[in-house]
Amino acid sequence: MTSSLELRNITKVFTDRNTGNSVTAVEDMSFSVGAGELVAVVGPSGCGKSTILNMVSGLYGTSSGQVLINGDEVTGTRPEVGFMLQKDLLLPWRNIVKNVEFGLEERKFSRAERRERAMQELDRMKLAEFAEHYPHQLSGGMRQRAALARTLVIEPDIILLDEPFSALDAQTKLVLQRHFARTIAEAGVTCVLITHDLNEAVIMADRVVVMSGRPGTVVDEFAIELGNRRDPLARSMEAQTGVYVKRLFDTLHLENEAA
Amino acid sequence: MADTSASLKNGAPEISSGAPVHKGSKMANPFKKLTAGSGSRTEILAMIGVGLVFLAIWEFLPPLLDVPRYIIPTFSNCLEEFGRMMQRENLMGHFMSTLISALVGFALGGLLGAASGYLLGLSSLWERVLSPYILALQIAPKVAFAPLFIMWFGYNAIPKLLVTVLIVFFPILVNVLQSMKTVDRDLVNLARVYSMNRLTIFRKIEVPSSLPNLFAGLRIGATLAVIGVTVGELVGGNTGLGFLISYGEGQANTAMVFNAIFLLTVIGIALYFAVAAVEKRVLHYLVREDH
Repeated sequence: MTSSLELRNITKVFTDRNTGNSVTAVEDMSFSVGAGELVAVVGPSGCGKSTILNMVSGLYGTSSGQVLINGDEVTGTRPEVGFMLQKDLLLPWRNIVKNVEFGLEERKFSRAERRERAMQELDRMKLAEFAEHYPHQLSGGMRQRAALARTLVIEPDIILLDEPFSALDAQTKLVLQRHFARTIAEAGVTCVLITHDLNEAVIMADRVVVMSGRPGTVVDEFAIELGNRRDPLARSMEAQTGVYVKRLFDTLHLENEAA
Repeated sequence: MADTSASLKNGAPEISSGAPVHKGSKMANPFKKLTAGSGSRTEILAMIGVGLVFLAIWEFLPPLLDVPRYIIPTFSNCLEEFGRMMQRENLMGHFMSTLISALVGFALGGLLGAASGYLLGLSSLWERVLSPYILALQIAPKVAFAPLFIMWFGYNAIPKLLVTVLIVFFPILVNVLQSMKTVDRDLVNLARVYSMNRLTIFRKIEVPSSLPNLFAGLRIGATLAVIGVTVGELVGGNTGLGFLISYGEGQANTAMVFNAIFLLTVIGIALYFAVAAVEKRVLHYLVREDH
């Protein structure tokens, strides 16, 4: 089953416990993601992109407004939500297959079932032969694929990707974007991709949400009508891609000048 | 930003084969491990050479300069005395007494230090409340407590054990506490997203994350344990290598003092390498650049 996600008038204020100063990270932000849709969120650094992700995953609450998954308000972490960061967050003391099993350990699976599911997922990521390797023995791209395996093995309905490709070199990045695009489309999950790479947003997403600088709020939102979401490389070759990137660039640039 | 997107587009057609890139970077690792560490043959020979030269100077220089043996006994004097101590002074008994005290004190101090470190790490409130006292106790010279413990507990094994526990306790406590405060928040959040409770997060994230720091503390503790026992034995008692030092001093038997110091060093080195060996096994997943 796939789920839809809605952010309704979200505001998040952080108050420093010692100084009492408060900072508004996100202000009156609303957007929605349909079931099975991939929405990219772009914006200048420090605009509260990651804050949104933490609120959607239920790690911390909103100051006002609601996060709704299938119409239910999010009040804490939920088993159907998976997340992935720029850091692979693989546990260095576990080998790859045990890292993938990590997310299954709070579920009611037998040891053998966990192993079987983890191996299936590694197979899909073409990492089966590295199951017994430790994270430090793998390249950055392989580690990120292992992290995706860990994210998908719990069969989430919604996955939140926070700049998952930004620490990779340009080539690995392109290969991995294609790999992720296919895997995510095949899994049919709803996906929020947070990124500062405008090109990446356009070639990977069904729709793009543009945020302003702090306090972050939505300044533009439009659908990417390129089709063929499984193949970001083909998409990047299309002329229309440049037009979308230009639109994003202009929107963000103007915002910067105003600020 | 426009430049990046343009170059990405230009680069796109060339990356049809991504897999070999991964393979290549993976292969690089084992080579690094082979070349790192392990000194060359000449270095080892030079090391042995320095030792031999030192022994020769020690053996022949003092008699040449007419230094009496109660000031500096020669290497052979020490060996001779070593044999006598084995036969007449129950050297093995003293050695074992010190070794066991050091081991027990190290184990107790390590356990208590680690347990306190984890408990304080779990409660930031208690950590803040107790931190000035911990700092004060950490700075206080622990060996100075030895006479106090003797006044309290008498001339037996307890005072030296207590000094050892106390001296081992703090570096381990501080290291563990430090690691608990610097656990990667994102890893904890990941575990929370997977619905793990506080205890599970502690067990599966915080404890494994803290192991490198715990072992750093244990390595320091291993060398300090010998100091603790020695001081305890020096101040009071009638067993152990520390006792032999003060006994030898009273008899102007310098060779005995030398031998006791040597054996204490052996215990310290053994303890240190035992910890290092366990560490290497447990933390095998860490990439090490130096030894």
